[in-house]
Amino acid sequence: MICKIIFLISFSVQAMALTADQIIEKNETARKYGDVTSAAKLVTGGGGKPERTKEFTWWKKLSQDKVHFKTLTRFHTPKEVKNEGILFIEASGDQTEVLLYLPSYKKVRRVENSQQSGSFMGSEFSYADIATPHKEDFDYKLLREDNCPAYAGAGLKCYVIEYKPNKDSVLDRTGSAKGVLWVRQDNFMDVRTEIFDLEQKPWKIMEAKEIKEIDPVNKKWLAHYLKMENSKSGRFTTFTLSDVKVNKNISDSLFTQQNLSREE
Amino acid sequence: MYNLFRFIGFRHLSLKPLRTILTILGIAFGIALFIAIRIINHSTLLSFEESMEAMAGKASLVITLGGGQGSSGFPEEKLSELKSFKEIKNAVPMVQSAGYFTGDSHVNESLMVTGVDLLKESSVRTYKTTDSEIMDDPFIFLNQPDSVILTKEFAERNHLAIDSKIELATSIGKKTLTVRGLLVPEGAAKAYGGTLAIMDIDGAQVTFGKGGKLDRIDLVTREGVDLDSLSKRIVEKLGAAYQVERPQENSKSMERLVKSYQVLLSFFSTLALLVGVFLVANTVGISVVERRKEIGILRALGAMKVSIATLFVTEAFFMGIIGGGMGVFMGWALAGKLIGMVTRSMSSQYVMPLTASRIHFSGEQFIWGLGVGALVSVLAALWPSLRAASVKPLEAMKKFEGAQQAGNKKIFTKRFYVGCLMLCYLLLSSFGHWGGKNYVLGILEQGCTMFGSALVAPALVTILILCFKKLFLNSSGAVTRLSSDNLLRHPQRTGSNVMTLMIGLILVIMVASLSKSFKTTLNDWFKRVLAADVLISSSGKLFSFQVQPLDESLGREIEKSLGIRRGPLQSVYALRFAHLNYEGKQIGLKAFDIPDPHNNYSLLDMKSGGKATDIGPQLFDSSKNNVLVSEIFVFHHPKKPGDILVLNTPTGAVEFKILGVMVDYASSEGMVYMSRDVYKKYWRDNLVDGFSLNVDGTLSISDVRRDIEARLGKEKNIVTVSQKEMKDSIMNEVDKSFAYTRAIEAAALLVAFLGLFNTFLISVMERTREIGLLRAIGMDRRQVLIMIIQEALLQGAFGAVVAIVLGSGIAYIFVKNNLTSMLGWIVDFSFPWSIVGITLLLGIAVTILAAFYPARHAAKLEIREALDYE
Repeated sequence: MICKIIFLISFSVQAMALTADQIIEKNETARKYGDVTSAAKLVTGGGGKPERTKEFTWWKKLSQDKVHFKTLTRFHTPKEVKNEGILFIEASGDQTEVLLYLPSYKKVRRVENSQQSGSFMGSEFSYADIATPHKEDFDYKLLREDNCPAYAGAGLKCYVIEYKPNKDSVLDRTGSAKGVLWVRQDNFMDVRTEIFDLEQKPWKIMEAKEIKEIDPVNKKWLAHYLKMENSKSGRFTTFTLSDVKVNKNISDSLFTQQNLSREE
Repeated sequence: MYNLFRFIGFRHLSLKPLRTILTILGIAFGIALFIAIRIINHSTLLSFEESMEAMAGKASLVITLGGGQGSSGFPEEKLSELKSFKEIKNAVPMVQSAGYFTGDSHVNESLMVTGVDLLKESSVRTYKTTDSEIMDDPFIFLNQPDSVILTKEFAERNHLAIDSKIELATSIGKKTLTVRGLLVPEGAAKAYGGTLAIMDIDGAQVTFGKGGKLDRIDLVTREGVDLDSLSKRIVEKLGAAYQVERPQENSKSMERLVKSYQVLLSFFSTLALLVGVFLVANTVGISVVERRKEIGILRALGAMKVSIATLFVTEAFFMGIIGGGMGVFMGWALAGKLIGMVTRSMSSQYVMPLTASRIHFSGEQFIWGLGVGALVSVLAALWPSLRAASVKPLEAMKKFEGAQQAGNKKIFTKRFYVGCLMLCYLLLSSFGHWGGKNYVLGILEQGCTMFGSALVAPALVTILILCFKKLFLNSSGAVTRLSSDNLLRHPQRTGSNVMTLMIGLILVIMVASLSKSFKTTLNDWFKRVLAADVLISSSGKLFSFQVQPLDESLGREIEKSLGIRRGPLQSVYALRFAHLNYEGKQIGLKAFDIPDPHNNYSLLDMKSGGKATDIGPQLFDSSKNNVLVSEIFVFHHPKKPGDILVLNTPTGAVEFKILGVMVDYASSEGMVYMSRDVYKKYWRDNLVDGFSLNVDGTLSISDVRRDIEARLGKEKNIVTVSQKEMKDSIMNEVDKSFAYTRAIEAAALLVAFLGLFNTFLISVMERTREIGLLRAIGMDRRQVLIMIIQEALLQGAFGAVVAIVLGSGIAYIFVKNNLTSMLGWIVDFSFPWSIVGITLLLGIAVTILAAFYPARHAAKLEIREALDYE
């Protein structure tokens, strides 16, 4: 599974000549900004269950290796989850660490790799959906070029790319055998991801909307609204960003276990 | 051969439908009990195995402290010590505790609460939920210590849904939990028959007062790892008290533990099967006598000896197959009725929750039942069939009565000697414990029990009838004299009846003797050791330690009650029960507080090593590592006072000096006793299973109990019981443990009834001419009826007397010699006086009932027809 919290990119590029790998490289570049701070809202509903809303602050920063990101999420509401926090420290070779802070026990817990295909915060996103995908974890195949979905914008063209995990560990982590990614040709931001389960049956569809250029100088883009729909459970989750601040030179000390366990 | 069976054997069976049906029913009942017990044993072990497998998931090794349920666990730092083992892919911690669901209508429903690291869990176990995710909202679930996931089945049974609140009795009082997930019975949720609750490990530690402690670590290892070598190295690293096992070994140790109980069940069910065997042998034997002339004709026409023998064996085989088939289905149904009763009884005895989630019945068991039915029938028919084959044509043509009379006495005497030999073998086998060493020898021992008694009994009954005749000959009427003469003149016929009756009654006496011996022994023991007026524990069964352990600090709360006799150090005395592994076996450990000095160490029921008053101060000297051991411990592990016992404790291997041997019935594998101060020092466990206290007389026992329950009962979920209530509940439990044997007794009596009915019917038919003569010389119908009923009465009454003597004799040998190796309890024999009257009545009732129809049939005979009967 791929392309999650999507950050847009844009243009240039001689589209017709590009291979699937080149398109994905450009996709990664388009969403590789320095750092972002934002307020966020996660709404989960559908499937005949009451809607649940969680609000949190979200910090994301590109690591010194200029490849991986570090992300800190701190929850504010509802009261049952107040001060809970999640720290993602991405690393290559499936060494991504996900730490969870539980204020009731004043304890930091590690989320195992095998657990990362599970639900993130009770939403339809998994931890793996939330983490930034990396090109080296998947094999890509350009299926076709097509009109982008209507919500992406009228007349926009997309690359339709199939991806498959190239390692068992990635398969375990994502819980998905393959996916189909729709990447805009103008800015290389992905607007739609169709995710299939381990039996290659349709599982989830993620739509990225409100894709805005957050760093015009470096041509970096960010989707401010994501919607994940689970075709098996009939449930959905929306992920909305607001008050987005970019490149504020967030300190690295924010992304430490010590800071994770610091309550408001 | 086929034609011989088709035209003669099958014809004979169809011409005597009643006898055929009765015999088939007899086999069916025997097989039913045999199969039922087999299904129960198999289902119980399989359910446990499934539970263990489901709980183990992908784990290839499981680390525990070997303390079993109710253990206080080991430090969670041990988990990080495993990081140095590169062979371990995942090490997943677990906290386990039996919680007691305290809903209004389910005070004692036990729930196995498993605290797991839900953020690591999928690497070892899988769960399937009613929803897409195991937790309704993981973020809320993980951060709320009261979050619990139940199985759908448990929730539905208790009318619970997501967000429902449940109250659980825990070691630190009642806890209210919130249902935040429901599991469907797949994967780990199948364990413990669905009475499983999942909590996050942090929540479970808080709820059960196990902060910083774990009960188990599941290890998922990398491929190709040498598990034996890894286990050894882990034990070296963690300490000898830690047990590192493959998950399937857990099932095996359980199998070893309950084997003795299952052997006892099998013992009784095999006896019931032997009753069926006897019935077949009886039927074929009667058939051989009855068809003597027919055999002679067949032989004269050229039928070979082997053909004659095969004819009778085939008839038995035919009945065995049908009876076996019916028995299998009856057994299946019976297993469904008995399984709950048996597993409850096993749970009590082995102090662990055992359930059988479903009846495991397979095609293999069906074939097995059919096979056993056919085999036992063939074996039972073998001897009478060989007798049939040995009949010479000329002798067979001779006048039947004379030939029969000549052979009868010989057979009668032979039977007696064979019976004596069998009982002698039983005696030797019992003293040498041969039956426990080998399955075949076990069956042989059981066969000798049943058939030895049955073969010896006719001679003993004959002696009793002779005595009766001598004593009451003059005072009794003509009909009575005629009845006793008839019985004495036809020892073969009388013998058959008595043997059939004996088979049924002997089981009744044996079961009664066992039950009485257990109860009396336990009752006497409690009288000696239970000096406390009041016992306090969480709701559950304190006597079998199926209670939620409590924190020792509760003792100080209880002490605040008025009316308690004050001691120099404390006024409320705690007891801790734990399991530990000793030489690969799970033994019990009891740790006591220094007892009330007024009770003179009465809780120490010493067998050897010295008086309780001398041993007590040494045992409770917390500066010394002294212990006592139970006599059953010594039976399994030869040790004597003064020897050193090395026990693996969570703090390492510790040497303890054995001060003496005492009597205890809480563990069939053996028990070690020590001061609780010493226990706490090495086991680092502050939990207790119960408290005891004595009243000082200023308030009554009821008032003290009322005060404790009013102050602490609801808040801490504790209950109080008086000494008498405790004893009564134990006796009640023993009764429940033997409840399933009622089915065995009933089946044995039913088979005996069928057998007697059969033999009485035959004997009336044999005597048709004689009855005709009696009627011709003036005996009226009523007198014929009375004569036959009186014969039955004499056989029933004297048969019952002999059954009581032989049955209690065999039970004595069994209790004294077999029970310890079979069940692990050293029990004193008690004669079941109360059952004597019942057995006499049963013997008479069964015989008269069985004789009534044949007697009425005889009374209705027309004189001319009877005289013409050949």
